[in-house]
Amino acid sequence: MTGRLLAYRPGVRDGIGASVARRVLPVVLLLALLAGPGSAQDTVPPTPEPPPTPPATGGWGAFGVSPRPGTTVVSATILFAHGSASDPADASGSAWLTGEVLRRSVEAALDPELRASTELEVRVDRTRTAFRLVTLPDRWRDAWEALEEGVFDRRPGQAELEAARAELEEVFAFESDAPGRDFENEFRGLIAGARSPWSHDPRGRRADVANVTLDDLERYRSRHYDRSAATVAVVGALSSAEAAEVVTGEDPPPDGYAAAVDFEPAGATSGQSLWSAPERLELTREVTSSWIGVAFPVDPTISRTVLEMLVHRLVEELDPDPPPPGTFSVRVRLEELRGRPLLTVEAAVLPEAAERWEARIVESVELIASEELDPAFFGWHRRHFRSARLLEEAAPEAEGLRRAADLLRTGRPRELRSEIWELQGPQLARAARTLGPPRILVMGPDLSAEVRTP
Amino acid sequence: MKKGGGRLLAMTPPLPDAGPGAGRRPRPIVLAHAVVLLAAIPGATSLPGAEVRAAQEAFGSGQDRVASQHPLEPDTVYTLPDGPRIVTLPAPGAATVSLRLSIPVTEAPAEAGAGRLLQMLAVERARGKAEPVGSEVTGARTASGVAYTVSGPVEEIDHLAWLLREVAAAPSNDVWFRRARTRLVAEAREREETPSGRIAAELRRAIAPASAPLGGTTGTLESLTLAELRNVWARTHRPSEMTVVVAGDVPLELLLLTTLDLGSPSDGPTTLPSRDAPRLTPNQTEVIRYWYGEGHMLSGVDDPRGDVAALLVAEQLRSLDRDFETTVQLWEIDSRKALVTFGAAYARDRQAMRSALRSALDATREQLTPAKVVEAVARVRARALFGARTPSGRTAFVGRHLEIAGATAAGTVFLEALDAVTVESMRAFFTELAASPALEAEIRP
Repeated sequence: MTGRLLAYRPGVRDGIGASVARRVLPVVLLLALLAGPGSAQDTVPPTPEPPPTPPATGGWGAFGVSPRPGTTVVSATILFAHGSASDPADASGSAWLTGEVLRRSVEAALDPELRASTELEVRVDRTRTAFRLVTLPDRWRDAWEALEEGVFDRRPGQAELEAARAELEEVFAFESDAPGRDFENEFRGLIAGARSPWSHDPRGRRADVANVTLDDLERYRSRHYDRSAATVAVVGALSSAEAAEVVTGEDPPPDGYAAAVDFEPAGATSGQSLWSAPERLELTREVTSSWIGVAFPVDPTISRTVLEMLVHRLVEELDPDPPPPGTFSVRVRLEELRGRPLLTVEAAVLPEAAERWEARIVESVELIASEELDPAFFGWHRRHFRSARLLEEAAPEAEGLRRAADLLRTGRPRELRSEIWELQGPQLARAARTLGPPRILVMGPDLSAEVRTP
Repeated sequence: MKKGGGRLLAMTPPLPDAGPGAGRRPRPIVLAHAVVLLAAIPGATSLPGAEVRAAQEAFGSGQDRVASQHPLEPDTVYTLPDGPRIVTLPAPGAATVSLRLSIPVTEAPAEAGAGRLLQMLAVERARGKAEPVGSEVTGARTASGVAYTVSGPVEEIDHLAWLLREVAAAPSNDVWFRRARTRLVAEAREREETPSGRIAAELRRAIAPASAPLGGTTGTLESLTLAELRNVWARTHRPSEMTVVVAGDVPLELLLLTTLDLGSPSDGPTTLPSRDAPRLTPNQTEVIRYWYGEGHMLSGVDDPRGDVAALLVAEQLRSLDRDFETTVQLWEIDSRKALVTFGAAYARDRQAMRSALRSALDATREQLTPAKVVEAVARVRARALFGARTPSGRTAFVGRHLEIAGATAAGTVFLEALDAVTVESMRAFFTELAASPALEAEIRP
């Protein structure tokens, strides 16, 4: 038992009165006796509780499962924190082709009935590679085992590489000299530097793709397809136990997800901004449209859900229905560079509208940053965002990809519904205010050039 | 599972009979009842005391409640007095909900295209109200009627119920009507003036001569007035004829709200008009290639062998080394299905094309193997289940099979029958199809 010795010294009158002191002092002395110096030596320190054993992930970096009894399929996503930015300098396209060739290899290994009951997709971007499987519940185990073996163990065949290469070559031929591709390359070069692998087309350079070999792909796979750094998310018509039994071989994680003790989430949580000064580049091309790209570095401490609503809000401003005159397309995305989030806005517009559009993009961010929305009006925006976001995840594989990405970024999946409910207007404004200085690229024709007649 | 519906009694007192020609039910009384129900809902998942007991007694006497774990098997079926049938699908904890409203529509020959026009106007009306909240509205003209699906977060159920009332409401805006009619006339003209549209129309006339094309003809659409369209609506959009399929985690009380004020009042026209359809100008569209097509009516109403057969026949035609184009489709016409094949070829290949199509059923049967049938069955099954993986997909699957076969569990019956398909049953199916005369159509340059 411990007591507390009150700050009272006998004989000192503290203004309460001597009679009070006489009543308090015996109690104080009794407490002091009970908490005397001998008691510390007699108390046995409590045995520290052993730390809780973290749920096993079966060798994966992190694993999550979300049973969805109201669906008819099972979806599983394997996500790696590597993409085309990890291509070797002399073998661009390695990430892309590795993913595509392994996908073909997995499909070829499925029996015809399973192949007919399964959809397998691979997505490779600059910093991520995702294998996404959707199959029927009664063939879930077979499909998963085929995926795992194909992604990690089985060496693909030359035929699969040639088929993937031929398909890519057709796309390159079609896009040859396409101004949209030119714009993408220039915009990415402005963001990360023209020499950075991050800036290159995720599909690689045409010349490199023509020369890539199976050994190149094996080197890429052995270096970057690391189970212990990858995340898996399963969503669908199965229980947590059924999912865990197949993926990890362990008991299901009690909270629906688990991360290995040594798993390092890929998302940055602090650090310097990607850049500190704005930059603007104007390029003239003989084209009939103009392209504008604006990139903002994002504060990595801002919640992902807030950032997604910021993207949604920007789309509302920049791409309403009906679209503003002179607009061909608008795209607003959250991307990643060197582990830090990046917000990019790209618009294809009539050349005469380019200047107005460049200002519009920057002003939209400033508008959101300065908005002090009435809670009811913010609630309307949030309602629209919630509908769009939840309907996006009506398909189990969409939720699966998002959960795998959350696990990779932070080690835990978001509960989107509750996070959206908790969004407040000031959070959105703050997120917009903390966007860093923009890097802007405008590419289009020179409208001031005189028309020469023969 | 027991078939048939339950009857909900005593949830709300019966509304006063407005009498013939009096139009809609008195708005204040309906609103009062809605207010009573709405007041009971916030923070509660059941109605206050006496109403709950009355409802439970009513349900106990005739409801169909099935403890089903299959996502495509209805959990509960309710039939309201003079109201729609409500079919619920299990979806515990789901974040979104979809409600699919289907309404049978029969058109007189002179009204061909009216259902499609109603559907277009309804979707346009509802989307304008859905967009600010981000809800989804889709619509389709099916072989049996019109169907609308509204989807959104579960928390938006009252807004979704409002959208459902919007899609079921009467057309009234003359400007929208004329604009929609103009678009449909353009669609009809495109069908009538393209070779593929012509062959499809010719085949349809051969297969179902009395059945009007769902999209209408230029003649019927151009002569249709808003007043006539409203008559079609009043005749067909009766709550007692409607079915609402719901996939979502929504309490009973809220579901009942979705059915308040749906559709047309119980009075109004009940018979088809006798006006003759405008005579169609013979289609003089010139073609460059020879077009030929065949249709075979299937005997079963919802026999999955038709879907499997369509895949197998398409594969067989694709396997031919040929210089002509072929198409295989499974049509729903009225309450039946037809396997349709058609193709196009230049003069030098026209005989080969016609021969390939005429012998397609026999050739497919002769080349059947267990492996081919297993794979085709797997593809049909996967297509059905993949399509049904979202709430809107589930309601579409259950709703469509209900419309085709008339039973709430028709979807799962279809899947069970699909699992029972074998190479022997497919051989028998092709033999039966080939034995019935093919309904032909041909267009020559």
